[in-house]
Order: sequence, then structure tokens, then C-alpha cells
Amino acid sequence: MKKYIILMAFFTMLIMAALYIWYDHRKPIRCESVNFMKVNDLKHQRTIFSEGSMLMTFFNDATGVGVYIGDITYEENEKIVQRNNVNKTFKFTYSIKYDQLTIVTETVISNMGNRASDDEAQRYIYPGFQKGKIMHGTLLNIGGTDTYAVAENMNPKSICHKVLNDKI
Amino acid sequence: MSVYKLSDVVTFDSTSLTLTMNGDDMQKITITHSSSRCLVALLEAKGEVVSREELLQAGWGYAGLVVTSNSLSQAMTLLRKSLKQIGLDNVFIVPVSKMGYRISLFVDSADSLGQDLTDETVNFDESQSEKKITLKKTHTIAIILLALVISIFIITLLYHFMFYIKASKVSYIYYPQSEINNKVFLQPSVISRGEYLSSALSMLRNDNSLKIKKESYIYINNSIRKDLFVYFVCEGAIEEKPETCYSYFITTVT
Repeated sequence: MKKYIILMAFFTMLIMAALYIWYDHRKPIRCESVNFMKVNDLKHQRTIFSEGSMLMTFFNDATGVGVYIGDITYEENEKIVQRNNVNKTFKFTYSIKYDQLTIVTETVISNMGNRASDDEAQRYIYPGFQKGKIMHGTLLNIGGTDTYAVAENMNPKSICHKVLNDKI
Repeated sequence: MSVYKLSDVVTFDSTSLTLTMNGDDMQKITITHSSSRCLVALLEAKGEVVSREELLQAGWGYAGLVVTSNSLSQAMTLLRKSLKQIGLDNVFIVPVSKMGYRISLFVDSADSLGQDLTDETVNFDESQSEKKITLKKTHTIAIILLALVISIFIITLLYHFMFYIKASKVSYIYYPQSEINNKVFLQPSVISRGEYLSSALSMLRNDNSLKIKKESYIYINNSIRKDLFVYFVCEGAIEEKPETCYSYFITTVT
């Protein structure tokens, strides 16, 4: 009888561990990045500032959604001449193999309040704001934490902090 | 008095108190009188439980003897040994708690002395083999279940490791800069690119629009493009406070 109880406990533990791992994989991964960009446009004698945050959700069915909220500011002679709010959502498919991340943008949606064109967004925010755009990157881990940097040829470009599900 | 056929090859003669293998006198075991009578009682019960009292009466009481139940236990032990010795490994005398004993095979009928042995139909093996089959089935199911559970666990682990991100770690080295009032760190590969490094530092020095605080930690990343400078700006060491970091790009277009 004691043997059966021990066996049952062992089986239950194995099944529970397997279920936990399986459940953990079912959860989407959310990654938040805050980006600033300063572009010195010598041709038009202006400076463009882009500022905003991106929340990317990677679902376990190899699709994902990215939401970007921010603005693009145009300055001439240190005076703001134009400011465009950006509020865009893009849907993508992705694959992660070892440390290689590939993202293909499927659709781009402009949300309420958005005043930036897709071209602007593509140029000053993130290369994914264009339908059909393919982005390849290498993932680099920062100090064994939940933070990853998306790199180009091992050169980090964007820092992305994993948002735990229980914090949302 | 009867002759019982306990298997295809073993017979029990309750008259001569012998268990015989293949009718060979050389392979014969003699058991005690009381054991013999107890065995007869068990065989006659055909697998049903025989109470201790009945066995005591059958083994000793008929002769007017009064013994303790300890004697019965000893007789059963001896009987088991004898059955095993003659080669009947599949015959069990099973004690039934607070009731008595039963034999794990039973005789359909026992012949009386003088009757032809072939006339008696002894089907001892049936219940035994049924039990064996049931036991085997239970074992098979248990093994299948165990294999299934372990397989599920291993597959889940494999699945976990297959999709586990195996990213290399990015490292930075401290680069003291007296002109810049911040803690500046470099990706090691930047050091060998002197021109790029000086441009990246110059951009930082000349930039008065940056939202970089004086106490910020600045990490300069390498870039393939000479006109694109990529920094990570953090409120603390990147390994300790990665959640406070943001990316900062400076570029020039002509």
C-alpha cells in the first residue's frame, strides 16, 4: 500500500511538472521597449526626435502583435515645427530558433489619434511598420536577466524587457 | 479415500499420504497424516475458505486430539513446502484473515479409491491461470501508464528546451570619461573602432537635447553603420536594473 502511495505521488509530481512546463509555454511572452531616436537631417536643416514605447506580444502560435505609442517631433532652429502622435498596431508572424529572431509584418493598423504615416514610422521608429517587411535579429541576453537586446550582427540595437504575465 | 490429480503430472494419494510426480515412485513425497487430511479438506472445498476449526477437526479432531492453532499453522507451512518441493509452484495455500485457509486451485471432482484416474476431471490450473492473466494484465497496464507518464514528462522537457531561447550574453566594459559626467561602458568590439568610438562620444558630449541624466549609465553599442550610434541608457547598472534601460539612437541623414 505504501509502495502504491509513493508511486502515485511520484506520477502526480511528474504530471504536474509536465503540466506546469506546458502551461508556461502556452503563455504569451510580452516584451516592452522604450526607444528614443535623434535624426540630424542635414538636407532639410532640421532635427527629428522620435520617442515612444513598444509593447510586443509573442503568442505561442508564432504570431504576435506590437503596439507602439509615441510621437515624432520635427525641430528647426531648435523650435518645434511639427509633432505627430504615433499610435500604431502591427500584427506579425515570428520565429525564434536558438537566438535568431525573424519577424514578418503582416498588417499595420493606425489607431485613434495616430497622425504619423507608415513611411514616417518605418523611417523613425521601427523597421517593422511596413506590410511584408522582414526583420532578422539576434537575441542577446543581458546579465542573465529577463531582458534581451535585439542585435544586428551581435551589435545590440534595441533593448526589450520581458514583462511577466502576472504583472499585467 | 481419494486420489487427486493436482496438475498434469502431480497426483496426491490421501491413502498413502503421498504426492507423486509423473507416477514415479522415485519422485514421491510423503506428508503427515494431519497435513494430508487438511489438504483433502482444502481440495474438497474447491477454492472456498475452510475455517480453522474445520481444519483442526479434519486434521486432528477426528482422532480425538486437541491441538492449538499453532499446530495448524505449522502443518500449513509444511504442506506449502511439500507442494513446492514436488514442483507445484503454482499452487498456493492462502491464509484468509480471521477465517481460515483456502487453496488457490480446486478440484472439480475427486475420484474414490478404485476409480480410474482419467475419469476424474481435475481442473486445477484454470483459476490459477485466470489469476495469472489478470495479474499480467494489471502489470502491463501499470507499465504502459508508467511509460506514458514518463514519456509525457520527457516530451514536455524536450519541448521546453527546444523553444528555450539560447541567447549569448552581451557584455560591456567600463570606459572612464572625465569629459562626460556619466558612467560610460563600451561593447568590447567598439574599442578597436577608434573613429567610431570618438564619434559616438562626441555625439554624447554635443547632445544637449538628450534625456540623459547626469547620473545615468550609458552603454555604447557597436554598429555596422558609421552614421548610426546606438546607446542604452539606464538608471543603474544594466545587469542590475535592466528594466530601467531604454535604447537611444542618433543618426545623421544628408
